[in-house]
Amino acid sequence: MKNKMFKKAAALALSASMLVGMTASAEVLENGRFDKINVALAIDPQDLEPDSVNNDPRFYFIYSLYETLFDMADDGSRELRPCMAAGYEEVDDTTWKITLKDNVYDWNGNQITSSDVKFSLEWLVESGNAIRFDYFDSVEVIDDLTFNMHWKEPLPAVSEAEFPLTRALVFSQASYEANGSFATNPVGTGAYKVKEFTSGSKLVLEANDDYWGLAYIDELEPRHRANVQEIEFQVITEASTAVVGLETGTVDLCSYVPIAMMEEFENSSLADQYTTEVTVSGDYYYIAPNCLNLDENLRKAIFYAIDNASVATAMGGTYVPMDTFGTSYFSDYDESLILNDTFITDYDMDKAKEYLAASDYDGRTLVLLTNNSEAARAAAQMIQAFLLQIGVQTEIQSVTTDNFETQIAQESGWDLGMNTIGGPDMVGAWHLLFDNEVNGDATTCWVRDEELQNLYETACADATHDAEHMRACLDYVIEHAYCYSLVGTSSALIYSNKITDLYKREGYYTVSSSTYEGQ
Amino acid sequence: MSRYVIKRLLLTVVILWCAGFVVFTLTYLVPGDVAKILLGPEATEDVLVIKRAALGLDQPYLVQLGRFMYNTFIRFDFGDSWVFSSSVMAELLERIPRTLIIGLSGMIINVSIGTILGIIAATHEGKWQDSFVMVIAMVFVSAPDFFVALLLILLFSLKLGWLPAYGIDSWTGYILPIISSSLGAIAVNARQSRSSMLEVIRADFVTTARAKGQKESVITRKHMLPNAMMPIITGVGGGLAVMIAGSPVIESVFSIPGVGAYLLSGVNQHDYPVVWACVIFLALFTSFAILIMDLCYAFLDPRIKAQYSRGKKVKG
Repeated sequence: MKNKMFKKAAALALSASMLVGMTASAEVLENGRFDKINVALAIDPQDLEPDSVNNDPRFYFIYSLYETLFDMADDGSRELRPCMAAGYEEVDDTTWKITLKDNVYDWNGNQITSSDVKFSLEWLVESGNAIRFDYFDSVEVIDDLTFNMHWKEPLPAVSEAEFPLTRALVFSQASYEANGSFATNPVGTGAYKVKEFTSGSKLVLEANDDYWGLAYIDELEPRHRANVQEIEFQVITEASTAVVGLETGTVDLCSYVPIAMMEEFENSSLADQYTTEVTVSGDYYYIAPNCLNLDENLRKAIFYAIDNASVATAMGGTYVPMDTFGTSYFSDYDESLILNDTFITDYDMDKAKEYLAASDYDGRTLVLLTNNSEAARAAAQMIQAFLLQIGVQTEIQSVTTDNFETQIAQESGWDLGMNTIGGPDMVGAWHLLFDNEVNGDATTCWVRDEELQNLYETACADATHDAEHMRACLDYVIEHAYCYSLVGTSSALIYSNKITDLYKREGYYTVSSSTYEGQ
Repeated sequence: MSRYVIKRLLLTVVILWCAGFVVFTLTYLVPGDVAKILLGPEATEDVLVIKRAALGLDQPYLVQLGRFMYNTFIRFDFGDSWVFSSSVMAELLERIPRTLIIGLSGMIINVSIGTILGIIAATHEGKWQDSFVMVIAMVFVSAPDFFVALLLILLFSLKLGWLPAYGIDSWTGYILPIISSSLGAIAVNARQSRSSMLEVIRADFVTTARAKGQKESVITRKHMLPNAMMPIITGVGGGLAVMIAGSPVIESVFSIPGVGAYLLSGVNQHDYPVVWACVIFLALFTSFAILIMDLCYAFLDPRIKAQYSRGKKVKG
């Protein structure tokens, strides 16, 4: 009797182990998709409304659910590529006639028409979330698939239409009105549908087999591909908990692992299971001198006296010193723009003292204005200590971001301003630092310099937006010590070797379009 | 007694009203333009004007306050989140059970283990049991919640693989958060129980009971414990409120989408409707915890019960 029971139990165990083995090996499904991938998110998405596409963490999944008229090219070249729209025609300086593809449907089967485009854009404007819509005026419906996009004034560059055309998500008015809101129950047109959403906990997406874009999959940008059947985004706010998730195999990808923890995945048995990458963010801290108060020698003295590597250390494990006004995150970054042998990369107390001696500094206490984040305060204290070494006294004033902007827009009351900056590309971020039109006819640093303006505009212009002209602008900035690039942020992106080729859309990892083991 | 409860419930309404007024006024006084913070530096003045109007920030303080009080206390509606478009009330209702599971389970563990440890320590005063309990209590009183939580994750999730490190996919996801949040409270309760028990352990009525030949276990259960319970209940009631209010830390470490994590995200993102709703929930919860604590006093102490009864007679 006992023997019989033992045999039954053994058979059951064998069947179970075979089943487990089969499940484990069958990770690529019959439809060619990888079965499931788990991604850690540091921030809770909270809702799935079709807005705020640039907010973390929405940019990791929002384009899988909703789509836009055009795509900004995935490769970072910033070219417009058709998506829902078949194309456009410039009727006059302020009117574009846009035609929609005739088979764009949402998950409920509603066709996307010109009226839906008008509704979606007006909804975004009314919600107060339509940033960078400066040139957008209105949508005029011509027929179901054709409409005129009216601009308030002629577009100086196509990039000025980036947000209405490539960041404004278009959805069906009928579906929106039927649901009342898309906060928890969205209806998009994307390659993935929402399978499960628990605010604060997880978002599970499932590949949409009826996706309209399958008919155009070779023409659309790769972001529209669904190479995974199911993607589970898990909200894990604490980085160390997410690292445990990676180590126990419940998380396959995490992009916010502190650099200090990266070693665990590089020098242990985990090295065979995970790939590590250092990711650099598009935001960085700068120091803007008030050029009305500080002469060129004093500015150089201050900049040579600051060791940005030490400042980065004081700010915490995710900060790294900058070596130019931008990072490899930006699409127009080039290694030739690294400012070697300048005060950005060199910390030289002797030079600092020489410049100070040549300056008109009279011993007064300089006001160092900074935003009130913990990291910024730590940086300000380090800078204060460095400047004290050359005999420059400073007083730190920590204020909120908008108070910072209000104060720095005044000609007096501050001497050094430290804050973060970012943008779609390097020159986009430079607008705030080098453009003579920020403060009427002066830069943020209160510089009025025609030569700087010429160099900046040349670097920005479509025809001359290249490393050579950007470098010329930077060299001029360094020559006159108009600004200082302090520190940027970086973290480790760690992902399971199930992902053989991690796809990146405009710099953001995109698991839906990545290639997986067995594909 | 029922009159007292009704009076306390009415007082709770006043407390909530005051909490609402204070939290609204404090967030109103926080410097900075919320519209600008929400939309970022790229937003133009036109967009900011639309955003301020959409959020009602273009109205004077009294109008904003009046609207907030009316919506909160008459319509029971906190509106929509400023950062996200979801209803704050709906989100809060979804999160409250998760926070309560952790808080109430933690309290049950705290009362049962903490009190027993305190009794053991007191009845074995000066012996190794006493020293052992007090050393353990001292360690957990000193160790911060998040540190204990991370140690538990490393042990039970990473090394042993017994329990999930985060999430609420199954009931097992709640085990580590409950243990982490209750360890500190158990330690505090054990120390409180010990000191309360020591106060009554040499009381005349205890000596009398011993002289009458009562069993030591009966003396502890029937004579010492009821008399030592008042400070313990005060500690437990307050501890429950602290445990719920302190939930942001534990919920963040274990990625539990509860009220605490919601409050933390509201504060970090200047999402004031979320902050208002969470603070009012915490005030409501604390009021009820204190009310239950007061009712327990009456249940345990006949003198307090008699006071309530006298009050009723006088007023009746």
